[in-house]
Amino acid sequence: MLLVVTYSQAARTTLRNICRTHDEVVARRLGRAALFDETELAAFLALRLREKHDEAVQIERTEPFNEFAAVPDTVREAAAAYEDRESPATPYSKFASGTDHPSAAEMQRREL
Amino acid sequence: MRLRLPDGTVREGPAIDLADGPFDVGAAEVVAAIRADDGDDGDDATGALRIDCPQPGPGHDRLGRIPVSKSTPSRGWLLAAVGRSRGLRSPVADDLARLEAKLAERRDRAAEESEADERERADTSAAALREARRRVAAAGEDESRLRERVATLRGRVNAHRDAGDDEATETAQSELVAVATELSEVETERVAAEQRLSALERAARTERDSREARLKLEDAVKNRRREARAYFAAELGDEFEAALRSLASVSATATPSGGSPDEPSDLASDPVACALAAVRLADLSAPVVVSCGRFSDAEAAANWLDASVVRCRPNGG
Repeated sequence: MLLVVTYSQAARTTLRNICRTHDEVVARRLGRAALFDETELAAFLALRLREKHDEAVQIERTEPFNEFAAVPDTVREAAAAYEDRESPATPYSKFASGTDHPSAAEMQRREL
Repeated sequence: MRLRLPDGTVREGPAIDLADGPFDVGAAEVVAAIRADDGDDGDDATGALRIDCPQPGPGHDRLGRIPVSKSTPSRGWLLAAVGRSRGLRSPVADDLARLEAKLAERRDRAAEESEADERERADTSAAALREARRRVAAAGEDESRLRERVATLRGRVNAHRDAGDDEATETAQSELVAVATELSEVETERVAAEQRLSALERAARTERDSREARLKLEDAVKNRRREARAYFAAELGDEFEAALRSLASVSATATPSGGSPDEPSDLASDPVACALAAVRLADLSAPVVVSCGRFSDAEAAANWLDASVVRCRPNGG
């Protein structure tokens, strides 16, 4: 999908107008951003928005996130285990130390 | 009002005091008796508390009992009930009614749908989606592993053929055929898994759409309610302040010795005092159940509140 984020009042207003008149391309509206379906019309509208408002418009192309394809098992398991922790006050660093779960710093270093 | 106690004793008048016993009647019981439909079902059998009084009108739901149901009622919440009891309508009342009806309709429909076709509908739970993603990923992994293997075998077949080793060529060839068949099966599996995932994602998206619509509606209702509360707070604020001041002087005379008299500013942060002030402003025909210690007796409470009063001990008491 296309993620369109606006960074000015005027761009936001134009985006709102686009969303109103082109309901069919909008997958989701999120305040001053919107997700468009991946069609040429959506790209056309996003590009027009950028032509008009320049740097106040950011366009990104997103892909569906499949944690089983993109994320190592260790990270997935750490997330599940931490959310299942017994004491809600335990910080992750304390939770992970002395276990096989990766530390936040390790994960920070490694790209997906 | 006419109140009949469980033992058949009858009390009458605009102010009835149950606080000093002999009967153990809790506030909740009295409130229930006031709100009970005055039908024939409450025949004259003894054993139940019965109260003959006017039907509770608007506002009694919140102000029919002190302390009120909320532990820290806001001024707007109280004054909105006062406004309703007096038949006042906020400028957003129509809007609010419309939005609330819409929200209720949406809830009914959602309940119906979830009951009707629980089996037909795609399972869009997080667990189902996670399982679908896992299958896509697993099938994709199998597929690339087999694809690599096919490439390796193809190379081997060519190498053996170039070397003129017919037997080895044939062996490699038959292995290649087997692996290629497996590959095409896994491919089919992967495509099916992808289709299932995207179908689920579409369904999940529809679900999110309706969730978003509901959230918007709930926000709108909350905003209208806030506006209504602000309206009543502005309309009735002066009267409310005056009632609090009057309560301060009543309390001062009611507690001659002991603690210092209440300042109106202290009373404004006392939930019971605020509720009392609201009841004084409200137009309630049904009795109010008072189980707080601010008045010496039911009559004093009824006089100040300008409402009929049943005074009793705090619940269960």
